[in-house]
Amino acid sequence: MNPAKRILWAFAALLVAGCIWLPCLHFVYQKPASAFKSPEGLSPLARQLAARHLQLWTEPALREQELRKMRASNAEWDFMGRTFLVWSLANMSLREPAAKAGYLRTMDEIIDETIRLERDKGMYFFLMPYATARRYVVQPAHSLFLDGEIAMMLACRRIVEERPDYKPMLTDLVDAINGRFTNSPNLLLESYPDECWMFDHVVALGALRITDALDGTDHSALIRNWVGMAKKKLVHDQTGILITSFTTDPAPLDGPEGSTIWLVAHFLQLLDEDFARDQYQRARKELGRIKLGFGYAQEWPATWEGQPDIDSGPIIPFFKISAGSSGMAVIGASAFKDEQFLSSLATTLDFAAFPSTKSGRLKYCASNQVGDAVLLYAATLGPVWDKAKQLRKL
Amino acid sequence: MSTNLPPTPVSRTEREPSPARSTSAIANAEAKVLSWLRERRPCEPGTARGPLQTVSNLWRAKFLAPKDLVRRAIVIAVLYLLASLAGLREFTSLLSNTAGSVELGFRMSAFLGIGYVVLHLAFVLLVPILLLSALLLRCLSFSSRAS
Repeated sequence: MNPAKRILWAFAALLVAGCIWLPCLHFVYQKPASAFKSPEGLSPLARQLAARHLQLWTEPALREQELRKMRASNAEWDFMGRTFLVWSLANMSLREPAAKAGYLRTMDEIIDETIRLERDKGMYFFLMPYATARRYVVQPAHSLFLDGEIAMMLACRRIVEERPDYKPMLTDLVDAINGRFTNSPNLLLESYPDECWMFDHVVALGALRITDALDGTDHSALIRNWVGMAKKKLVHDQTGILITSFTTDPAPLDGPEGSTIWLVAHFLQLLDEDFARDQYQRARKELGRIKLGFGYAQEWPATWEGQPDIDSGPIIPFFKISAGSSGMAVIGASAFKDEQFLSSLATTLDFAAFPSTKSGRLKYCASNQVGDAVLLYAATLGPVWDKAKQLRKL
Repeated sequence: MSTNLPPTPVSRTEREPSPARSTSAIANAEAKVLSWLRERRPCEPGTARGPLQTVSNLWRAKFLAPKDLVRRAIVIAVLYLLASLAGLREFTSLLSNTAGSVELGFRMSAFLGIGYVVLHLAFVLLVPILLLSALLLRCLSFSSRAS
């Protein structure tokens, strides 16, 4: 065979082989959704992820190393890594009552240390440096990002098992948040100077809702008014998806973003079930993708042009895959029991997030501690919301 | 008697071998030289001696021939294995904007991470395609020979 003919045949063979292999590739990594999140108890994956996180809290040197890596990029991740882990452990405690004591011990340790750090080093310790560049509109300065997530940590801890000294702490925090909402003409609170985030609002309002269930207080009017305002003023016209950030006026800053909306839809389940499902379905349509068996999520819908940032992570060209949005999409798919999307996202995790298991402890090398905590939360969420809803009915 | 006579000079033509004898000698000499050369040319296909020469011969392939495709798959697999053993997997945290090592810095970590991601993609995407192509080409060549 002459060389030209041989090369032509070779290219034809490569093309045929590609057409055979690429559609089959996902079978190598594919797992059912139940392998990621089991309906009861813990899935093997959740158990392995949790083992790695618990190791970080029993080996200070290892934790220090992980935190240094994250804080070099974003101090917020240090804080969010703690909150997602506490929320996960709360769900794990309800899923595995036999292991509750150990989980509660770690939760308390994390909560106490986080509150101590915020008190001793100030709120800017967990914020990005630009928080100090301007003055907060509302004085004295408070960040809803910190207050809301700490309140949610305390609420989740208490819903698993009451701890008397946490009750007044949560009450004080919830009263402070409620007071600031009441004084805000647009029901919007800052996380950074004149910068309000949808993510932080739904977390804070979720904490209020769980506190109502725990203590018999009633913030339903505030929650109803806020959801009504958000539907009117904070929705992106073309997609109907809630926008990500805005000023206190409110003027939009960031439009709809995957790194926000998946978690927002999940927290809306505590505030307004129908609106939550509507937001998830819109996000799924605009941002969620499954190609050749691999699931992923984009950061922006086609009708909004945004710039990659610390939340979106690097955007992979052509497919426009966002690591931030894809990670959060796992929470959305898990919360709304979207088995097909969850299974395909788990497939992508095994393919492209570089799992590494050592001595029964799993971490995703492409991720970091906060990313893994988000995945652990996605693999365990459910029981805390269910218990809060049950308590409210009672 | 003619015994005292000097020997009759042999004509020059008589000293030369007969044509038949001459051809046979040349052929023998040629065979010896070729044999000697074969012994000293390790890269000649099918004539290698020793394990290194055998490997070297096995490694030689025409561009995009089945053997060449398999060879490329092996190179990628070996590089991926080495990168994994060297622990470069840790540096893929660049995908979440996190440095794999604070000591090495973000740029160096990103460089190592990107290198690993490229090798990983080459291993899971290209290696099976190269091996499948080699198999297809082999099947094709067998079927064309058979026909």
